Parts: sequence; C-alpha cells; structure tokens
Amino acid sequence: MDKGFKLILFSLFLFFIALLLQLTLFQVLKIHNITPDLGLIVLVFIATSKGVMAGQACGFLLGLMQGFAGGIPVTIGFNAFVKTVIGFLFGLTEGTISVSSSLMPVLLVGAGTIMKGILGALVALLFGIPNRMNGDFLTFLGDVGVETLYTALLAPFIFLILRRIKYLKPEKSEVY
Amino acid sequence: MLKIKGVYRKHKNILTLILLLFVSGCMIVFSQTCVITALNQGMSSFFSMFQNAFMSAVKWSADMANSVGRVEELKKELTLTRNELLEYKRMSRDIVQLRKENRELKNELKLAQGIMYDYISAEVVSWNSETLFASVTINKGSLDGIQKDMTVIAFQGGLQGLVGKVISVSLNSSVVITLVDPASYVSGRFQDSDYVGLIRGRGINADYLLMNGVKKHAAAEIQYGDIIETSGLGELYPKGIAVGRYRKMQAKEYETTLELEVEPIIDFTKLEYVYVLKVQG
Repeated sequence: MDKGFKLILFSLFLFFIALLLQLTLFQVLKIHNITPDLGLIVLVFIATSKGVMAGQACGFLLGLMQGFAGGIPVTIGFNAFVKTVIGFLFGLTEGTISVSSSLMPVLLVGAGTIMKGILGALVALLFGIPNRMNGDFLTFLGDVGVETLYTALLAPFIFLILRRIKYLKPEKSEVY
Repeated sequence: MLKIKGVYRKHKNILTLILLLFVSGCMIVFSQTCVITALNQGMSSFFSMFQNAFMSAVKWSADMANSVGRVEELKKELTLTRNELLEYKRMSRDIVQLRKENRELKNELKLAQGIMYDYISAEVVSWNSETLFASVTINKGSLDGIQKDMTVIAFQGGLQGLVGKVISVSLNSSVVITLVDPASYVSGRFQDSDYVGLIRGRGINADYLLMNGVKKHAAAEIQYGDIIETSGLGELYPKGIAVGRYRKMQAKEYETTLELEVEPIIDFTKLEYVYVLKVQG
C-alpha cells in the first residue's frame, strides 16, 4: 500500500478518535460551553511533521468529518475549506519547527485555533454564511479566546502521544 | 498530457490546495443538495450513536456515584435521627421525672403551709450513712440563714415528721443529724396520753427507734399506732412535732419503765425535701 495512502488512512482513524472524544468525553469537560478542537491538534502535528500535501489533505478530510458530525450541511464545506488552509499553512513549516518542547505545541496550536477563527470569519463572509459574528462579535471573540486557550493547553499532552506513533515521524529532520 | 503532468508535479501542492478549496467551496454552495444532506444526516446519526452511548454511560456512572453519595447521606441522617431519638427519650424521662417532682413539690407546698414556724426549705443532696453519724447533707447553708441546732422536719404521706437537727453549717450546705443516728436523742411524748420518754436512734438499718423511760402503767393506755411527738422538754426540739408511731413494747419485769419500739414517721431512705425551722433547740 502506498505510504501516503497509509498515512491518510491512519490520520482518518486519529481524527475519528479525536472527534469521538470531542463529542463525548469533552462534552462533560466543557469550559464556558466550549470544547477543545482535538482534531485541529492532530492536524497541526501531522502538517508540521509530514508537510504541505499531507497537511492539506488531512485538513480537508478532518473538515469533512467534523462537518458531517456537526449535522449542519453548510458546515461540511466550510470546515473542509478552513482546515485545508490550516493544514496547508502548517505544512509549510515542515522541518523548520521542533515540536519536542512543551511550549511549541502550545504556540502552534494556539496560532492554529486563532487562524481557524479568522479564516472561519473570512470564509463565512466570502460565502455569505449566516454566523455568530452578525451582532455578537465580542462574544464570538471571547469564545475564540477560550477555545484557543483550552485547545492550546491540551496540545502538549496530545503531541506527546502522537510523537510516539511511527507513522507520524517527521519526513525531514527537525530543527533544534 | 506530459506537459500537464509536469506542471502538476512542479506545483502539486498549490494545485491540490486549489482543488480541495474548490471542492470545499462547491460543498458550501451546494450544501442544500439532497446528496450532501443525506450524507450529512447519515454521518451525523453515526456520530450521535456514539454520543448517546457515551452519555448513557456517563449518566449511569453519575447515577451510581450519586447513589453511593445518597447512601452515605442516608447513613448520616440515620445516625442523626438515632441521636435525636435518644435525646427525645432522655427528655421524655426528664419530663416524667419533672412531673413527679412537681407533684411532690406541690404536695410539700400544701403541707408546708401548715407549719407553724418560719422555715427554710432545702433539698437533701447526700446521705452520709456510711460515716460515723447517720446524717444527711442539705443544699442550704449559712448564706440562706441556716444555723446550728435548728430543727429539721419533713412531710411524708401527708404527715409532718421530725428529721433531726442541724449539727454543722457551711456557706451553702449543712449537715443534719437524723433521728436514726444512735447518738441522737429526742424527748418524746404520746400525743393522746401525754406519757413521755426518751427516744434514740438505732442506726439507718434498723426500722424503728427506741423509746425509754415511759412509766410502766402507761402500758395499759397506749395502743399500737399511737403518735409520739416531741415534748419540748430539754429544749432540744420545739414541742408538738411528730416523731413516730408506737409499734411494740419490750417490757422487762425488773425495770420500772417501759422500752418501746417506735416506727419513725419519716422513712429516711426516701427523704428528699426537708424544712429547716427557724427555731433552735
């Protein structure tokens, strides 16, 4: 089986697990009614270790999966769009960032979550999707802030697990 | 064709990105089509199945935890209720005791109104029968006006009877020597026949007093149950306080006087309240 295809399949599995946790366990661990985006953490890790192609493909699949799980048809394409861009952008950093420290995952995932908020707003604006920013912008910003913190703080732990997976070992050597 | 392949290889990342974004855009635009809607519903149901299972498990766990907590709570409540029940039982016993005391005090009060002397009421706090003297300690002392040699009486069975006299006084308590003490002497007189004699105690365990010095010819007049009271002679006790009832005669041929057994009016084993008369012997 092609190495890239194996990676895609394995990533799908990880996204599925992350999504399940997000929809179940983290529903009871909500902070300010916000759940962390566990799929985004996995995506950032894959993109930074496997590069642009893997990043954007996995981002697209993650977006689809999250969209389908959301139950609102418009969010399928919306999520896919946003996550593809995030996967692409983080893929560009392949081999240039070390994720072995505890701080770097926090920064990367924090940046990814903020990026998700900004991109989401832009895509919603671009496609005319009704969204929360219409008249409730401050609350939206607050929620993005909480999600950023929550997701970023979980990132080091999830990165620690992902680093042990053989399939996800970086293609290029990391810069230390 | 080769040229297209070459361009793709050269810019495959960007081209793939554009392709994926295009597909995503299409999915946004055509999100209301029946294919996407059906897919969405199917996948959503799939994920909700896991959610429901998980939530059921969480609810079950929470219920279990709550049940354990509830059991602990019930245990605590049970302990508290048991303690309260014990407290109520104790209170109930106290109420019965208080009612009894109240009844007795009312009787005492009614009887006490018939005392011809000023008096100080007191309660017996201890019985010193194990000491050399058969005495009792009462809860009133010099601060209440008690003085040495004051006469002490009590009421039992509706009768006023002599208890003894005060032999020592402290600030808040006094010791009263009782009639049953062997060292106690009272000049007694038959209430009806006026025969006199000297009454002395025989100890707490004897149920009678001994009356000596009664003239022998009194034997024809005295009867069982006659009341003997203080004579007032010798000024040890005021006159007219009942001491006991004549019970039995111990006559000896060679003696000129009678020795009589006298049953005290007061049952000293049941002594609770006394009245200290403000009269000294």
